[in-house]
Amino acid sequence: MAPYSKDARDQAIGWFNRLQDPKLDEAGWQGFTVWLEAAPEHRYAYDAVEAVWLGFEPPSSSASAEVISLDSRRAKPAPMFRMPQAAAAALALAVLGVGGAGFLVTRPAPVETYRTAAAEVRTIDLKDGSRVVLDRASTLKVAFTRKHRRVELVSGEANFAVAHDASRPFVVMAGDQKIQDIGTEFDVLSQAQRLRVTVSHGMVAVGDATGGDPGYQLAAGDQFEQRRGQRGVVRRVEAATVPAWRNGVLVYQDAPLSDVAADLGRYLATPVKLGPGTEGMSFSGVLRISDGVSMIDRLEAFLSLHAERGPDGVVLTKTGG
Amino acid sequence: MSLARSIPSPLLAAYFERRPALKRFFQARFGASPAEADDLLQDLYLKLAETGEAAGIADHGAYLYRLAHNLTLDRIRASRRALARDSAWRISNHSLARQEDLADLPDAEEAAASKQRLTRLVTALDTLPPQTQRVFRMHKFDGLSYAETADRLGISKSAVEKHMTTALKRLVQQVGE
Repeated sequence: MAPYSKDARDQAIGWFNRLQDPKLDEAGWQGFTVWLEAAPEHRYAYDAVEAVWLGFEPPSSSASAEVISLDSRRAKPAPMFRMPQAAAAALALAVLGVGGAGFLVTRPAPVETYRTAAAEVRTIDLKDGSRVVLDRASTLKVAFTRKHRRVELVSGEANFAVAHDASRPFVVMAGDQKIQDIGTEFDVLSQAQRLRVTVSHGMVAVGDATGGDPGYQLAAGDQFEQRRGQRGVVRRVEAATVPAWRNGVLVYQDAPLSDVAADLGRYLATPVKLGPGTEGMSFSGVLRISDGVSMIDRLEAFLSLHAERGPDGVVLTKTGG
Repeated sequence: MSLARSIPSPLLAAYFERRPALKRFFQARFGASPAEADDLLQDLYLKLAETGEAAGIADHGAYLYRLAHNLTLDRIRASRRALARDSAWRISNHSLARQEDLADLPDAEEAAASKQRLTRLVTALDTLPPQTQRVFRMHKFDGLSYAETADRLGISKSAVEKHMTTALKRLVQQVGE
């Protein structure tokens, strides 16, 4: 979207507040019109505020609303309202209904959120007997109901060992993909630009969360990777029973440096970006997972890079011209 | 002109009186051309015909503006849905037609981005102070007005506004475009 100043943003928020009043009079609306007309950036700023406001609604039909769990609070037991049009299946996670001038009220199903710290790996035993190992600096949400076992890997990486329950499919949401367990053990990496699923045991289906079409079927030893804006790729990998990160190492083979930077960003809890000279670089090697700073140091040494640490994160550039 | 008969005359009169002002509103909100604004006015007229007159509208002008504003929100939602639908089709089909190069489809990216945005919005919401979150959720998810929210929480309406301002500032900063 087009840029706007902080002032414009604050004014836009002020107008948003006024517009929320059902008793706003005609003069108020006229004032809003005049403010919008005063400068293009006012409109842009208001677009941004409204985009956030509307952004909390699922972008497409109610069928895809199951993708995201919206409430991380463990609510006091509250009645579940049903949306008139949506299938019951779509209600397992919190869903927003949109209707006319207001919003339908739906109480969320209880959702549990797990968040690991930068140096913490946590094993979570779920109520159905499944086990999740959550990697460092990762966030996982769990919403089980009588009919569904739904989990969302908001960011980071997790290893899933799924207990068999034919009546309740175990579904992992990551980004806009849905990973359905048809078998038992798999690893999911979820980042803003990249989704990766590696299967150790059994079978997994990966597909778009909105459609019914499962897309890809993966068996043990298959790895699915999709980068944002590109189509997914399936490759064979060594079917290790335990992924490398659980042994405290990251193993890279001809990995684009941007992938390594994204992983390091998670452990450092600060963005790691690539600067001049790093275009097209790849990395093969092993990084022991320790504190992010040491990992960066090691990468600097391996690849003759220099890490510039600033308030907005770390920038890696090539040394030696 | 059978539609005209179904709109109560005070409301209809108010509509025609304010038509230029409403057109100006649409143009201001969207930077719309006169032709696009006319299109929106048509939709507004139809909406009026559908909703009829709720008993005892005190301020016809405000009512019409509110309807117009809801129309602008509907338009924005519809265009987001169209993007997402488009993208869903492409993503669910690319396993069958692997020759397709999805990298050139900006729509698919944008729609995937909007789902990512939802996740980021919820995560950002989680970082707000508890009372601010409470206010935001009550207004957004429970559909309570500022006055109702203030009532429920036993705080003033201006306190509710301050919380909403804090929340929106953070959300726009962290997740806004």
